[in-house]
Amino acid sequence: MSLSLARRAALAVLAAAALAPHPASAEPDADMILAQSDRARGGGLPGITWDVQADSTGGDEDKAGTHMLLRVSAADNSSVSETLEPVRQKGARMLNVDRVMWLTRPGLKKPVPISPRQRLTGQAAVGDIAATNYVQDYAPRLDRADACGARRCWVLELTAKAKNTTYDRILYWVTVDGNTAARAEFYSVSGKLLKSADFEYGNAIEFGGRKLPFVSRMVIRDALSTATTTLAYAHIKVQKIPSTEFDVGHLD
Amino acid sequence: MGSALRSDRRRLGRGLLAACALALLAWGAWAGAQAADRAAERASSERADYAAASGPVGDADASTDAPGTARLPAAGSVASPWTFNLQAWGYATRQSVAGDSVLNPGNRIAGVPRDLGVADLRLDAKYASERLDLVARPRVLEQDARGGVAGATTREDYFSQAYLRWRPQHAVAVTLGRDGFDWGPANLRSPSNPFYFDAGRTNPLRDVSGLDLARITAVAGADVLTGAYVLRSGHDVPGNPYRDTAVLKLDHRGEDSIASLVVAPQHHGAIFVGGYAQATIGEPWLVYAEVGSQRLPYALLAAATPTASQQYVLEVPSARAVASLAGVAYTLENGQTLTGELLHDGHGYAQAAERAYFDRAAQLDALRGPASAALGEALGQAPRLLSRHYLYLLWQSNPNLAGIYWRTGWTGNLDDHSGQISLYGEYNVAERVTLFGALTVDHGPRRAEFASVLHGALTLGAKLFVL
Repeated sequence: MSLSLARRAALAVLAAAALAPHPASAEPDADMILAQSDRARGGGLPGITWDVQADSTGGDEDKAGTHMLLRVSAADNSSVSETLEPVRQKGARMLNVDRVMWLTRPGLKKPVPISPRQRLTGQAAVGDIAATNYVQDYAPRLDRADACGARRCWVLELTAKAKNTTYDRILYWVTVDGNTAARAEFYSVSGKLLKSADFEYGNAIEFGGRKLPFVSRMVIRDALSTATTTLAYAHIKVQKIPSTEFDVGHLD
Repeated sequence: MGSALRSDRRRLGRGLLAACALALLAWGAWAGAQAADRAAERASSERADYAAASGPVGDADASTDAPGTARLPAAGSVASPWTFNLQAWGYATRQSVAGDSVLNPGNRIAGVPRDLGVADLRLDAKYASERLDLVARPRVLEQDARGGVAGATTREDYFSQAYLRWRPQHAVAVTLGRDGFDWGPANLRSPSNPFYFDAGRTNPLRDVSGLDLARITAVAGADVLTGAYVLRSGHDVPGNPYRDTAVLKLDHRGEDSIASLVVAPQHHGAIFVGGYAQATIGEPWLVYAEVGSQRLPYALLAAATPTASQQYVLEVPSARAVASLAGVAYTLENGQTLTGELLHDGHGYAQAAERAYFDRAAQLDALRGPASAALGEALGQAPRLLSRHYLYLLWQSNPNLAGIYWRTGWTGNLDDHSGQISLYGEYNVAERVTLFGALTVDHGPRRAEFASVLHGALTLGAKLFVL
């Protein structure tokens, strides 16, 4: 039996539709996923201020654990943090401009330069309290999809673009539906797992006319010990930060 | 002493009046800036509208489900623009004075106290808003000296810093008042800074006062331009040597580095030219250098035709000379840092001149009586560093970690083979109390810089963190 011309055309259209790549199944853009996940951690915004409570247990800390409260202002690749608690460290300030860092505190004669290897407290590095701009420092590759709790995540492999980046490689779980980072694993150049982190997004900001989730907690665990640092973020305010705030001549 | 105390109080009173006047000016500037901001907001229709909801979303409560005690202020509360930091330090120092010193025979010239007791009250108060900062750092310092200068008690009330900082635009800041104008990455000395070469090294526990100045800073991307005029040298420096000094400073910031160029015409007519550069290499390495060329206010030279009582002459100002420093620091995985610095100070004595300096002092010692004033001159007006070549080594713990902080260092005079070992440690005994101790041991020949007056010193003290 021969088909009518109309039926043959309809079959051809259906076949073409079946063979054509569906937009929903196209490879996700790893750069876009990373950029959007940065925004939920302070990156890509004109400037941000927030308070960070850091509590550490295990590792080098004494048995009672340590507690710090910091006020942080960040924009682009610069940040300045001021210690509010504990009282004996109150007034200490740390400035970070790209990879150049200074520390000052009451009693010091002038700001002193410090290495990026100086940890802030416990397992937290300066980059953990400042705005996250992984899209500038790392080249992302979509590795696979994975489950993260009750949600689905893209797993991105982030490779450092420069030798002087804090971590050489990061495995980054980003939720499919929210484009927020759920988990991260930080590796050295030799492939050794250094530490891991889990994120929660109990805060929100308004950006571009939309309400977006924003990080509220980050729990960092050392891979080789029981040391853990929990960062809680609050009082988030998106605002342009005066660029003079990131001048070491004003770090007093 | 009573008149000195009244004079200090009058100065404090004048300072407070000046601070009030600054506050009134600041309020006026703030009010004007607020009005300008409101006008700009009404005129602009393209500014993005960002708002923050700092409270929880859904069922999560970021401020109460963190482990341990929840110390974050309640969601929605506004952080205060005021911050206060009040510390009270108390410490005692025992100094071991060299009795056979050529420069200070029998401790008759300098009268170095054997024992010192110090009470130091430090308040840092700050008001910070979007466009305006007001800072006041009053200090009350009482020092009791025993042995050497028996029964000498001094008290100083002063403002270490007191200034107004106004930001008319996001990239511009104007500072008026007494402000710390210090820079440079070096630990041992700061050749790139015409005001703070010493950087507090000779008395590390004492707070360093700022300069009375007006300065403006403008940031343009990676470049920062600062122009300043120093009116007075602040509280610490006798003789007001930095008065009427203009400064132009240009910083260029890279991803891993910063470089700075400084030009400062000084009141005695000569120009200071200097700068510094530092770079971060990888994660652990920091390299840096500083340089400065200037004429100092004076230089003590051996008299060409010495007489029995005059062995030295004062050259005003000094000849131009260059000071330079190169340093490297390595941070270990545990956060401890190892630092090494090499310093060349052209204003110090060459080896022959240093020998002549001590030889002349020995001749004055033999004269006694009228030679005492000349020996005092030899001590008080000696170069800021006696020789020209120094090595500094430092090993210190991670300053960001809680618990114990310590550092140990050695400063060596490579020309006269003397040196100083220094140890410092702090231990937090309670949330608001830290105990600290410092030990210095000087070694070398008697006619050498580090062992010429003191054998060493031991300090024990405590810091109370009130606010």
